[in-house]
Formats: sequence, C-alpha cells, structure tokens
Amino acid sequence: MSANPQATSPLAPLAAAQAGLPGGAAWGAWRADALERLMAVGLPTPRDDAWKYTNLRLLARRDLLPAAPRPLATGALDDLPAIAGPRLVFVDGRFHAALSAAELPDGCTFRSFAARFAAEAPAALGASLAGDARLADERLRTLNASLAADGPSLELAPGARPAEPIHLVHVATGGGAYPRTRVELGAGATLELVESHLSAGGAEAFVAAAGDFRLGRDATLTHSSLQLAGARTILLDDAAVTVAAGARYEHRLVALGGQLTRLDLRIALEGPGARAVLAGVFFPDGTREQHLRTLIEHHARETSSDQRYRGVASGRGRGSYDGKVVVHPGAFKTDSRQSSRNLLIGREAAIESRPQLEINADDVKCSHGATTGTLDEQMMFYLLARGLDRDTARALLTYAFVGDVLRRLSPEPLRRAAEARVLGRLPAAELLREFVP
Amino acid sequence: MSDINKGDSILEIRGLAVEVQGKRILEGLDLTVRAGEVHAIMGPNGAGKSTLSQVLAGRPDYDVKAGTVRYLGEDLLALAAEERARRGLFLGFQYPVEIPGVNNVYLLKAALNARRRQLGQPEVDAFEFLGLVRDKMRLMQMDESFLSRGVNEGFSGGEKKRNEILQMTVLEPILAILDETDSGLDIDALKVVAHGVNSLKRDDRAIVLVTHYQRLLDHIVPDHVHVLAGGRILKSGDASLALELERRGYDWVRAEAAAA
Amino acid sequence: MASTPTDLDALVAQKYEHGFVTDIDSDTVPPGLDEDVIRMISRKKGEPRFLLDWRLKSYRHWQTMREPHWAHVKYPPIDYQAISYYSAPKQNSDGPKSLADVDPKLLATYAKLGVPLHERARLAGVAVDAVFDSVSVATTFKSRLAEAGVIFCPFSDAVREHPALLEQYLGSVVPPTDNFYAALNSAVFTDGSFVYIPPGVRCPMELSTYFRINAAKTGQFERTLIIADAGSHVSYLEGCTAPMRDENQLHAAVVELVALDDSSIKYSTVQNWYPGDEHGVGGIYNFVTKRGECRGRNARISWTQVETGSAITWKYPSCVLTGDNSVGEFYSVAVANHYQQADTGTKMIHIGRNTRSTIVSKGISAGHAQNTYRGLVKVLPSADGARNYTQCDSLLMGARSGAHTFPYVEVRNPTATVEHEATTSKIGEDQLFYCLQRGLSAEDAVNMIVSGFCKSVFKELPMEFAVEAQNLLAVSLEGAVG
Repeated sequence: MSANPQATSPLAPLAAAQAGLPGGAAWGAWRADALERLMAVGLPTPRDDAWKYTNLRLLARRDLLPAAPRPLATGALDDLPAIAGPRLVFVDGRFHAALSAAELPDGCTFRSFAARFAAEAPAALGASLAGDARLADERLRTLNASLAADGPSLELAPGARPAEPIHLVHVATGGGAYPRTRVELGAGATLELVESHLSAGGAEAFVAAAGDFRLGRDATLTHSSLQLAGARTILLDDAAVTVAAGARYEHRLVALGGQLTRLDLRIALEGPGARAVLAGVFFPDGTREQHLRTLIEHHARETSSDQRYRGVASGRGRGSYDGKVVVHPGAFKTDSRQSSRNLLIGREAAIESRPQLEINADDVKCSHGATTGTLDEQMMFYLLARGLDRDTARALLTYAFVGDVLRRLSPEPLRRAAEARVLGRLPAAELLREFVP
Repeated sequence: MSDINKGDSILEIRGLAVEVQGKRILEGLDLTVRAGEVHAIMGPNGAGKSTLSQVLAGRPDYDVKAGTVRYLGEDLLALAAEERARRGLFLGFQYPVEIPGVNNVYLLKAALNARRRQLGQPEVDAFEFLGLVRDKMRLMQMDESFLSRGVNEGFSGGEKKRNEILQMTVLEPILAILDETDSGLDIDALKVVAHGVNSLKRDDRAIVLVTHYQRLLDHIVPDHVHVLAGGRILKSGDASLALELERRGYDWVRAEAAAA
Repeated sequence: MASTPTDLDALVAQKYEHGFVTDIDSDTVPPGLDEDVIRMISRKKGEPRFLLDWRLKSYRHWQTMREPHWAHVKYPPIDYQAISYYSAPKQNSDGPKSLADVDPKLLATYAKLGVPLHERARLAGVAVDAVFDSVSVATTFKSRLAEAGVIFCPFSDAVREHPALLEQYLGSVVPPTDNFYAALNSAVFTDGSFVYIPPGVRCPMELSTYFRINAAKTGQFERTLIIADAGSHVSYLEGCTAPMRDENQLHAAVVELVALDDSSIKYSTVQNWYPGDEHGVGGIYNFVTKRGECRGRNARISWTQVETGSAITWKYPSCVLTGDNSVGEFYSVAVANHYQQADTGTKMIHIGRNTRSTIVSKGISAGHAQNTYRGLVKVLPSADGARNYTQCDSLLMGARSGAHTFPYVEVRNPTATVEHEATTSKIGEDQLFYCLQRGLSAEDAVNMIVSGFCKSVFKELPMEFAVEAQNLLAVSLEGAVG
C-alpha cells in the first residue's frame, strides 16, 4: 500500500466516467462505493506480494477512462483464428452485434451485462462481482466492477453440450476497457470456450477484464485465453473459477501479445473430485511483459490440479509465473502437480518463477518443478552432431520446448494459429513447419 | 559415392591431449584409421573411450590441450560439430539424448539433407525419403511407430541404440564412430545392430567401434584392436587381441606398457 | 494414519531432555531496552569506542523498523521492554583463565547436556566454546588451535584482542540495517564465537559452540563471525538448548561467514532449543539471521542444519556467491511437532561467474505443526554459467499439520541453469506396511522411513554429530505416530 495513493493516482478521474454506465441509481451508488474503496488503498504495487513481479507504474501515465465508442476499421478481426461456431464480439468492453454471429446452440443463453445492469439490482448479481479491494489479489476486479459497462453473460442448462465452441472476442481500440464476463455451467454441461484479446488501431489501450466461471456438478469447461493484444495495450485479466464436485475445468493460456499482460486465475475446487488442468505458454519478446498468476484452492476431498507452463523470454522481454496451490484442512487425497519451465534467450530477458505449495492436510500428494535456463546442451550437441546448423537446432529446440503445451490446444484452428504464430517468431520457420506433426 | 579408395587415410590422430572440467582425460593419443577398415577401441572404465568419441564429434565443453586430428586431410579440430557431421563423420551416442517434441523422422530428414547439401546433391523429397527410411527400418527391425515419435522420446535402451544405427544407415557416413553401441542390448538386438553395422562396411568407409566387451566383436570382426588406458593407446593388434583381453583382462597390458 | 495400529495412540510425548535449569547466581540486568542498557553492555565488555557507536547506530535504526510478519508463523506480540538483555553467571572479575577456574556447576551443566568441556572427554577432536546466557564461560583447545594460527575465542575476547579484524569484517555480510532482528542483535549482542583461519591453514579440529539459555525472562543475542582466509578450511558446529518454561524466550542471533579465495567453511547446526510443550505453551522464538559470503574465487560455504527445537523458527542461512566459481550449499532437516512453527530456508545469490549452489531441504510436520520452506535463488546478470539445483521435500504426519513451500526463482542471466523440485506427501503407507509386515514396530518403521527421508542431509553433518542428530530426530517425533 502506498502512503498517499491519491496523490499520483490515475484513478482520480474515473469517478466522472461512472455517470454514463448502465443501470439505475443503485448501480451508481454501488460503483461509486467500489471505486472509493479502491482509491482508499490505491492500485497494487510490487510491494504487494501478489504483484511482486508485475510493475504497474506504466498505469501512472495511461488514460484509464473508458473509451468513447468508435468504429472498427475493416480487417480488425483478421488476426483471429477461424473458429467455427458462435462468436460474440466486444469492442472496448461493449457488445458489438454487427460483428457477432450469435446463433447460440440449444440450452445456451446469452445476455449482455449492459442488459443485466439495467434489469437487475447489484445484490442480485452477486457479492463477488466487486472483489475485496483490501486484498491486493482482487483489486483489479474492483477496478473492473467500478467501470464495467458490458460483457458476456452465458448460461448453459444442465446437461447441455453444444457441438461447437463459443468464441468471445475482445477488441481494444484505445483508452480504457472494462469487460465483464460470466459463464455458468449447469450440472453435467460441457462447453468449449475461447476468449481472444486483440487490439485495433494501434492506440494506447488499457483493458482490465474480470470474469466469473462457475461449473456445476460434473460439468466440463475447456477455456482458452488467446492474448494477441497490440504492442501498446496493457491487458489485465482476472478470472475467478468455482468448480463443483466431479466437475473439470481446463484452461489454456497462449500469451503472445500486449505491452504488458497479466492473467490472474483463481480457482476454487469446491466439491469432491473437482479437477483443474491448466497449461500455457507465454512468449515475452522485445520489451513485452507477460505475467501469470494462478491460485488453486483445494477445499474438498480427492480434488486434483495439474499445471504445466512454459515461458520463453527473448530480447528485453520479461515474464513471470507465480502459482500457488493451497490444500485446505480436510482436503484429503488431493493430488496436485505444478510444472514451470522457462527459457531465456538473450542477456536482458528475465523470467521469475514462484511455484508455491501451502498444504494443511496430511494425506496428499503434491509436487512442483521449476526450471529456468538456456537450451539443453546435450540436445543441442546431438542435433549438431547430426549436421543441423546452429540456428535451426536452436529454433527447433525452442519450438519443442513449448510444443508439448501447444499440442494440447483446442479447437484445432486455435492450435494451428498458435503454432503458426510461435513459429513466426523463430528463424527457419519453413523448415520447422515440417517438424510440426 | 566418393573418390575415397581402400587404404586412404581417413583419420589421423597425433598426440591428442584432452581435458574435461579441468581434468586430463586423454594424454598423447595416436591413432590412424584407413578406408575399408574396422577398428575396435577397448579399455577399462574411465580410460577415456567416450571422451575420444565425443571430442572427435566436436563436443564444445571438451578442451583439446594438445595434438592434431586430421580427417580426410582436413584439420578436424577446426570444424564445428555440425560441419564434421556434414562431412560424413557420424557418432553413434552411448546415451542418445531424448528430445521431446522434435519428430524423429524429420530430424533424420533434416540431417540427411544437410549432408546432401554438403555433397552438392539435391535434397530428397518427402516421398523418396520415406521409402528410403522404411527400407532401413526393415533392416533394423523397427516398428513404423518410431517415425512419428519424438527423438528417442520414451525409447528403451535397446530402441535408442537401434535408432542410432538407423540414422547411421540412412546418413551413410565416411567415418562411423559407435560409442558403446552394444551396451544395454539383449542378444537378439545385438545381432540386429551388428547386422546394420555390417551392412555398412565398404572400401570407402571406416568404422570405429568403442566397446567394453568382446561380445560385439563376435558379430562385427575388426581389422585392428586397440587398448585405450590412462588416456592413450597402450597396445594395438588384430582381432585376436580382443579375445586375449577377454581372457586376461587389462592389467597385463598396463604392466607391459609400464615396463616398456 | 489408517494403517497404523491404534495402540500407538498410547505413545506419550517424549519429555524434552534438556529442560532442566542450572541453579547459579547470575548477574542479570532488569528487563528493558534503551541506550543506557546498550552502553552498560558495551562497558561490561570493555569495548572500543567504534563498537559502542556501531551498537547505538544499530539501535537507532532498529527503532525505525517494524517487526516483520511475512513469515508463515503466528505468535502474540513480543514486548521488547519485558526482556532482560544481559544475564551472566557471577564469576571472578575477569572471567575464567582456564577450565579449572570455571564454576563446577557450569561444567556439570554442559556434561549433562552431552558436551563435556574437558579436553580429553568424548568430544576429544572438537574444540568447544560454551556460551551460557549472555557470555562465553569456557573455550577448549585454545592453545592447540593457536599453534596452527587459528583464532577461536569468545566474541568478547575478540573485541579486545583482535579489534582490527573485527572492525574490518563485523557487519560486512549482515549489515545492522539488514532486518529487524539483525538490527536488534547488532545493538544488544553480548557474546558468541569468533573464528579466524589464517591463509592456507586447514583447521586441525572441528570447532563448535554450544549455546545454552538458562536464566528466565532473558533473551540470547549472540553473534558469530567466521573468517576463512585464502586457501583455508574450517568445519564449525553449533548446538543449542534451553530449559522448559511456560514463557517464550527470544533468541535473535546473527552469524556472518566470510570465505576468501579457495577457502571453505562448513557450518553445521543442531538446533534443539526448547520447543514448548505438547499444547504449544512456552518455547524459544528463534529469529536468526545467518549469511555467508563467498568473497573470493573458488570459495565454498556449506550450511547444514538439523532443526528440531524452538517454538518458532525463522531463519534462512544464505550464501552470497560473489567470487567466480564459488559454491554455496544448504542442507536442512526441519522437524516440527505439536504446535511448533518453522519457517526456514535459504537464499542463494549468484553474482560471480560459474557460481554453483545446491539446496536440499527436508521438512517434517507432525501434530498441529506448521513447517515452511522459503527460498530464493537469484542469478544476477553478471553470473554467467551459474547453476542451482534445489530439492525440497515435505513429509506430513498429522491431519492437522501443515507443510508449505515458497520458492522464489529469479534469473537475470540466460546462461544460468536453475532447477527446483519439490514434493509433499504423507509418509508412504506402502513403506510403512512393508516394514510392519517384516515385524518392525510402527514407531521403528516411522523412524526408519524418516531417517531415510533425511539421509541426504545427515550425511553432510560431521560424523561426531550425525548420530546425535538422528537420535534427536527420533525423540522429536515421538508421539507423532498415531
């Protein structure tokens, strides 16, 4: 906590922006209260343990005011993988019906948050909406809540299993954007969800996204986050996930863009047998910063979590993996694994890694492994001894380093798009393409 | 395939001294290998056999302190590891490394094309290449599934060694150095590997077997056998020397050398 | 543990062996801390001016600091004014000249603790400095060590006899401003050991210091400084115990190690401060700052610790690897039973080229205890070719115990290789069942499995102490099964 947050706070001008947000007076008061609580503590700084590796000093000079709606240039969505199925597009945090193809499958209900704000009272939407600003972990959630105008709210009826993935697309055109997402799966429902973050127009942008994902009994959600934001976009994405008994939450992160990006993934495994399977790659190059923080709380028996992250930093790129697993008393037979492997290319690249275990039950099996370093010398020598040139061998091993995570991506177009983009960052891409199965 | 004739010098090592992590492993090693020959280098544990193999293949963290190595008349030590490979020097590794995520067959194709470019030959296309590899895999009695797996990923010890020999038969080297290729093989696998090596014996090629035991030499008969101990060649002879070593061990060679 | 026979529930908690009090007249200052107390300590020690100034500066800085609370431990606020900062057994004006002058009660105390101070006794190959509350009461083998040029003496003697060395090295690894407890220690430290090994000398025997807290309502604030000059080698061991009391007593030590070119320091700790009773009443708060700097090329510092005591442990013996090719090692077994809380680990700071570090940490939690490993591996841009390997395992032996692992890996050099592995699990039921099937008692089986778990650390201890550590482990875990 800084001593006098208001003095330099970029939050100060935001109160005025709350006036134009949807919802009645009750929402106005609710938002004012959220912003006030946030201003009392200020934005997180590296002194807050949860933000040790993410420095938000860039925000001091960033325009955080919600962007005025502006037209999107043609071709702005060309970078997106061609994923079949319904697509919901949000520009600067607001639903864009014309770009969306919202033909939703049976059992799936979509409402925009703008409509929900207008129709429902704050209390009805749930207390977790605003987070607890006193906790550094949840402060960005509070910021989002105080300015969110819109966003997708999806509900899957019990047992619903849409055949095609649903693609949520967020486009930042400049200024602040505060999209709010909620996805609720009824018992036994299964959904594949892709969230893509893009920028358009190249202006400075700030996105503080927040989402709630609730999985009912035996539900399965496969959730992929594709971060392709532009080089002048700061993207802070905060997802809170609750997983009921027997349900399975899978998350995939592909972080390839942005000026500074961060994903906070807080997962509560609430019922027996709940599972979380997380994997991802982050690839900070140039002067990019890409951060990832996961918190998995095992509250019940026989819950399991598996995390597998790969970071590759080059140039002056910086990245971090800060993952914590908490096993609460009584969560016996918990099985938890964390793997964080990081590759540094270049003298000024840096990756911090912090795989943490907090275990308060005895009958558990938990492990983590973390490595940071350069390419494996023995592998390198083997390839050279077979006549490959150094650049190719290096590129090949770099690709192979992230390959096992990329291969897990789905749907297929997302995997291919991610692979192509990673290859595009490496020399000898043509040759490497052959190595991709 | 080449203008190398039987009896031409392929490898000439003179006075080679090598340090690994500050420790002197090879000290004044001499060895000459000619086209058409099969050499066996034998010796006790820690004698420097693997160091010799790795140094010839160009391992960067091995420090050559003295001596010269000429390969086909060129200064081998001046060449990078990949340049040596492209000039036809092949090392069959004692412990082939696993490289998850790098496809086995594509590595082989990339290696073959690197060699062919060096020889001024056109690169093979995928169709031609697959035909070639399938033939060699039959020779090595390898399953098709090896094609799609990662390099040595999850291979058993025996499978790794077969994969090394498969690579060798595809790459058709001028000088093949096989480091403890027999270790970890059961008797059937040993025969398959030996068959693969024997299929490669030619007048314009040389093979150096680095081995601990005489066992492999029952199947691949060497023209020359050398005893490497204390960092240099202490004794050389014909195939009968290997049998004598099997019978008498290495101590007498050391004693003889000390007396000389 | 489901597979453990229920009659084990009957196993009673083992009594803390070293919980007795020595009845001896002490010179104890009243509780409280201010500049006058510090001046008094300095006067009693006959210290030079620079040291008093250093203490006062530290004290003034300490007053601006706040007690740290980031560790995974909980305790009621400490009243620093309720502690007596100086307590020493009464003795002749100048202190004992030889063992013959030492109060027999003190000799008996150390004999009872298993550390006989007679040079021909069990620890014949080990020189011992015995620190009792605030002062050193005896140091053995001083003359034999002096023949080798080795200085091994109480800190207070070093202040008088080797002020130049002290002024050069004191606070050079752990500056008084380093942290709250280091600042407090720098202001009020009373005694401890001083070791200097001259260039090229291999110290002819193990050195050790045995710390004993005896008086009530006191804290122990000792300071140890070990300097290994170029090409020298030394192995040093410390042990610690205290009486059983319902109150919590504070132990806030500072240990500084300096290793110059081609030297090595091996520092071993068997920490057995009173842990409190099975309900968590009493016990020592062990808040210690230990750090070594490999200041020279090819220097090596190795920390080995067996932590079984204290109500709360807060210590992170660390290595600053400044010299090229220098090596840092940390081997730790931390056992926490009943209501003990341990938050311990290490920092390895790689600065020089080709520096290497190894961390092996074994944590065992039983009962309601909380055991935390906290470690930092930091590779700075200058540390080309740096390597670290960390292995960090936790064993859980109670449904209400906790095991926590907080590693920080910060790498700023692409040529570095840092590997961290950790596992946490319950004691293996298969292993336990196998032992039971072979006829071992559950207790023996647990001891055997736990010793196996700790083996890679125990083998780093000097031989004289490895057995002792093993026994201590067994005693600490009694009552944990069931």
